[in-house]
Amino acid sequence: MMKAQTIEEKQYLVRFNADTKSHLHVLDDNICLTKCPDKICTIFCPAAVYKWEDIRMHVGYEGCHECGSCRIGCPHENIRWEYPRGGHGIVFRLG
Amino acid sequence: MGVRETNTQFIAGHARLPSGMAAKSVFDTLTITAEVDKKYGVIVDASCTLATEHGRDYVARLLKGHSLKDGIDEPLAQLHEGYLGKANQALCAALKDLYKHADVVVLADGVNSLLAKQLGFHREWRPDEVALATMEILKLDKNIIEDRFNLEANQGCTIEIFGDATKGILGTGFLYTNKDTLSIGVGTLLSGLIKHKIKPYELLEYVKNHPMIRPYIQGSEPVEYLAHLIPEGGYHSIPKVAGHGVLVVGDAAQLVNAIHREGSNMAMTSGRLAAETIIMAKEQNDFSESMLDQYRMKLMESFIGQDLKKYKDATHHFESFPQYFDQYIPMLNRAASQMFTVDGASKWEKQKKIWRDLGSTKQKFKLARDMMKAWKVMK
Ligand SMILES: Cc1cc2nc3c(=O)[nH]c(=O)nc-3n(C[C@H](O)[C@H](O)[C@H](O)COP(=O)(O)OP(=O)(O)OC[C@H]3O[C@@H](n4cnc5c(N)ncnc54)[C@H](O)[C@@H]3O)c2cc1C
Ligand code: SF4
Ligand code: SF4
Repeated sequence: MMKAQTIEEKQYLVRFNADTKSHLHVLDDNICLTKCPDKICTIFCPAAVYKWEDIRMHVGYEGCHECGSCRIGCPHENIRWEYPRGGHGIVFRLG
Repeated sequence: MGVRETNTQFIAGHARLPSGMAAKSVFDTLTITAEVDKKYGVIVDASCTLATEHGRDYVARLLKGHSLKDGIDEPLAQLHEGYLGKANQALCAALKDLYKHADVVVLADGVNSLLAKQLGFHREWRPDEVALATMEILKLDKNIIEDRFNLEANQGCTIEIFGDATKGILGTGFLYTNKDTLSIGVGTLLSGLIKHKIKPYELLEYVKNHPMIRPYIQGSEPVEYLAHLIPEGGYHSIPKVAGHGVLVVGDAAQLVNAIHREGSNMAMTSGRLAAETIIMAKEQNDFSESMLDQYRMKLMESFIGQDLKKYKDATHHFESFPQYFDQYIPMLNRAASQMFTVDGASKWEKQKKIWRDLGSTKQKFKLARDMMKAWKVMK
C-alpha cells in the first residue's frame, strides 16, 4: 500500500519557509458563517489550509502552496490573497 | 471587480539595501513604486519601502510631478544630494531600475497575475477558467522504471488518463516518467471541484489507487506533493495583452492549450514575440498601445492563436455535457481494454460485445449524436 495518503502526510513532504505574518486573510467570518453553507474553501484548497472552527475560519497559511485557488474559488470574494513576502513561502525541491 | 480603463500605470524599481538599516528588518530590498500618467509620463504618485513615514514622504514629494519623458537625471541628482540617509545609494539604484522599467513592462507573472488584474487588463478568472493540478513525485529505482515502462535509457513516457480517473469531473490524470522518479497527478477545473465538493488530494489518491494506475506506481515512495493552477479558459479567456508600456505573456495571458496541456512552449513563444515587438517599438521610440498592439496581432497569427482558436469551444462544450466524462469515456476505456485484452475472443466478437454494451438503439443514437458534436469541436 502507498504511503502519504492523508493530506497531513502529503504536506509533511513539502518544505515551507514560513513567514511570521499571514499572506492570506479571510475578510469577514460572518460571511462564511451565514452565506457559505459548504465552507467550500475548506474542501477545494489542496493543502487544507482553511479549517472552520464553529464561528471563525482558521487559516494555516504556513502550509499554503500559493496556487491561488481560494482567491478565485471563494464565491463571496471573501479572501484577500497575496504572495508571501520575498524569500518566504513554499520551497520546491524536485517538481 | 469590473474591467476598468485606467489612465495611469504602476511601475516599480528595486535595489538591495545595505545592512544595519531599519527597513532591512522588514525587506531585504528597497522598492520604489510610482503611478505614472500613461500619456504624459508624469509621476502622479510615488512611494517606497523606507521604514520611516518621513522618508517615504520625502521621496514621494521629490518624484511627484516629474515626467519620465524628460529622463531621470534631474530627480536622480535631487535624490542623491537631498537624501542623506544610509539608503542614498539604494534609493538611487531603485530609481534607475524603475526608469529602466518605464519603457515597457512585460508581465510574465504566471496564472496568478495580480499585476495584470490591477491594471484592469482582466477581471478575476472564473473557477471554470482555471484547473487545479495536484501532483506527487514518486521515487522509484531507475531500472524498475525502464523495465516497467519499456524504456531505453534516457527515454521517457507519459500516460494521459481520461474519464473515470477524475470521477467524471472534467479533467485528466497524468503519469510521466523522470530519471528516477515518476510524476503522477490530476488536473480538474476548479469549478468541477466546487460543484462536486471533491477534495483535490482525495481525487489524487483515487487516481493513484485506480486499478489501471496502481501497477505502474507499485513500490514507489512519495517524496514531494505539489499544487498549481493551470489557466484553461482558452481562446475566449485571453485578456487584453498589450497596453501603453505593458505586454502580457504566458500563463498570465491564459496561453495554454488545455486539450494537449501545452503551456511552456506558448509561454516561451509569446515571450519571444513580445521581445520582437519591443525591439520594434524601441527603434521607433513609440511605446503606445497602438504600437505595442502589434504583439497581439503576432500572437494571433502564430500557432498560439491558431491552436487556441481551433479548440476554442472544446473545454466549455465538455463541461456543459457531463455525459462525455460520466459515461462515454469509461465506455471507451472499457472498449479499448477489451480490444487489447488477449482472451481468445476474436476482434469481431469483441466489437459485437462492445456494441451491445453501448445500450439500446435510442442510447446508441444519442451517443452517435454526442460523439459527432465532440468530433466537431476537436477536429
Ligand atoms: C502539473 C502541470 C503540468 C504541466 N505540464 C505541461 C506539459 O507537459 N507541457 C507544457 O507545455 N506545459 C505544461 N504545463 C504548463 C506550463 O507549466 C505553464 O504553462 C508554463 O510554466 C507557464 O509559464 P509562465 O512563465 O507563463 O508562468 P510560470 O511558470 O507560472 O512563471 C511565473 C513566475 O512568476 C513568479 N511571480 C509571480 N508574481 C511575481 C512578482 N510579483 N514578482 C516576481 N515574480 C513573480 C511566480 O512565482 C512564477 O515563478 C503544466 C503545468 C502544470 C501545473
Ligand atoms: S469560501 Fe469564502 S465565504 Fe466560503 S468559507 Fe471560505 S472564505 Fe468563507
Ligand atoms: S493559495 Fe491554494 S494552497 Fe494556498 S490557501 Fe489558497 S487554495 Fe490553499
